[in-house]
Amino acid sequence: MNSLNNIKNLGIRLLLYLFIAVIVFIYLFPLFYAFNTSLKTKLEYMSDPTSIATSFHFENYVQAFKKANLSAYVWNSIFYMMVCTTASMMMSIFLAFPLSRGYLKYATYIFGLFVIGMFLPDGTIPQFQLILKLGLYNTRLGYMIGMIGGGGIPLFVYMVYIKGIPKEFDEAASIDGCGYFRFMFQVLIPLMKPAIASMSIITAIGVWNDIIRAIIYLSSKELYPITRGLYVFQGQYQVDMPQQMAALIMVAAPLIIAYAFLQRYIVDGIVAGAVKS
Amino acid sequence: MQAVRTSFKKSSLILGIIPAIFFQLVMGVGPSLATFVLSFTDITGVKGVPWKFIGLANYKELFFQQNHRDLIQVIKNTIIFCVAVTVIQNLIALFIAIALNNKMIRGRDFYRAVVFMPTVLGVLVTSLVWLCVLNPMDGPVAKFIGLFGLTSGFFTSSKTALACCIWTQIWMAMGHSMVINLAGLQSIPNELYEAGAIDGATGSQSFRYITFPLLWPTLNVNIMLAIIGSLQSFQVILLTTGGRNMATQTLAARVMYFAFNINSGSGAGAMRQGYGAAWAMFLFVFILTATLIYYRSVKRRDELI
Repeated sequence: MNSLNNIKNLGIRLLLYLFIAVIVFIYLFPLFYAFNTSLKTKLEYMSDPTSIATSFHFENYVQAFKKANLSAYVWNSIFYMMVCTTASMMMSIFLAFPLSRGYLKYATYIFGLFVIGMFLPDGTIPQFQLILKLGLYNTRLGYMIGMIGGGGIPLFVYMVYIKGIPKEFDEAASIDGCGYFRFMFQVLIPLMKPAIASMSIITAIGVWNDIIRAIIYLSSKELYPITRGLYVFQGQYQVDMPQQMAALIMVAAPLIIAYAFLQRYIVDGIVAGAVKS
Repeated sequence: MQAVRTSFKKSSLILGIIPAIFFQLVMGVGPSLATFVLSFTDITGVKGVPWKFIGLANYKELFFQQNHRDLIQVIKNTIIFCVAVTVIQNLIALFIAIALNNKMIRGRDFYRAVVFMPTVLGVLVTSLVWLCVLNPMDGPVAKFIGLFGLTSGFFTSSKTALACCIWTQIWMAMGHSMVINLAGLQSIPNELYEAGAIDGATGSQSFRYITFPLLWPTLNVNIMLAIIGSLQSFQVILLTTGGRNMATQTLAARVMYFAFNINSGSGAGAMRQGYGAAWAMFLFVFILTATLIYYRSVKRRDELI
């Protein structure tokens, strides 16, 4: 009986491993293929696109880096990412604190304003009209302004997190004569570090990966984020697949490296957001 | 409604929340409501061009004056995209989560990390990678099915383009559902399974009577997110097949196509934003209906249990 169970367990395990192997293959193969392609010369690619690269042609990367002008775009992306993430996180934290503590009148109505936003029609078109009328089309500010906000998942996660921080901190701080803003920056924000780390990373990835807004709002090249640069490059150099893939790997690599180190925070943040909202 | 007493200055507290409220009103709720207003105008995306209210003309064009086959195709595509993405994504995410929750499996963290990765890579990298892998001329998948004497246009053929978009969308978004499922599974106390085992429950019985009912709230969140998310999603479609290929057009893609003419890649062009807003309102009603239908059917099912 026992040995029969063992065989059954082994069988289930093998099946599970097989299933996981197929899934992992489906997820890793495209990236390996893109990487493999990026190492070939154009001729090698045209004669046999699927063969394994034998000689490594890193000059594709140099070429693509120059042609796609990625060095300029990468700084734009970093700038957009930092500004949008910092501004959004500050807004969420400063909103979450009084709402979570109930320090303000009409807290439920204010919170409702942020909940109802999720159930309304898509506002992309009027937003565009507004930015156009303000003369912010094709400016850094116009591009970023729609990606900044204090609502969404960070707000909910922060509100729950702040509930877990004892109120005695607030009282102690104000008795010691600490003003509200000093309290926020020196007491509350340090206490919220784990939550802020998760939410900042998720917000930052969202800004870094944006492509649709970059297409809608930006027309001059000097303002492009890296995604828009890659998008234009793949339209222009459609024939040169190895260089295209080299450019793609250069855009994806920082994300993959960051992901390897920050995975915990990212996954925790996603789960917290889904469970709490 | 009385506020809780605090020794912080009220004015400071209010000053702190003003930026968030301002942005929410001006960039969030305001534009959302204005979509409804703009849908009755002939406004364009070009600055300085005069515009006026034209009543129901946009809706009339949407429902009656355009080619009927196009409208029916868009609605059909939207439903196929939504149902396929929701069902397949959640089924596979459930299976993977259960497999990765099994303590007998080694290296679970690595597998989880791999499946979740596209969430970080983003929609552009995902779309370009799959355009390359599903290249109809010389991509690896084309070669593989070539071994069986098959050919396919993948993203370029009107027969397979929508399926390819669905595949890419699922590849990209499944990790998200999976980690949520995994968190749900991990919150089920192990004692329940032990008690079940003592009572002689088989594997499928413990799934049916322990795992599934306890995971149901999590699955429900996932399904809801997938329905709304897939109905609103147009990024993969526009980045892989553009706006002109009617075979892949969903409601959300049409909104972007008419309002921003994204197909051309530059955002220039006609940009009929009033008409686009009418499509956005249609999409809004569509999402509302789909969510209500799902909610009603789930409620009925919950009552039966």
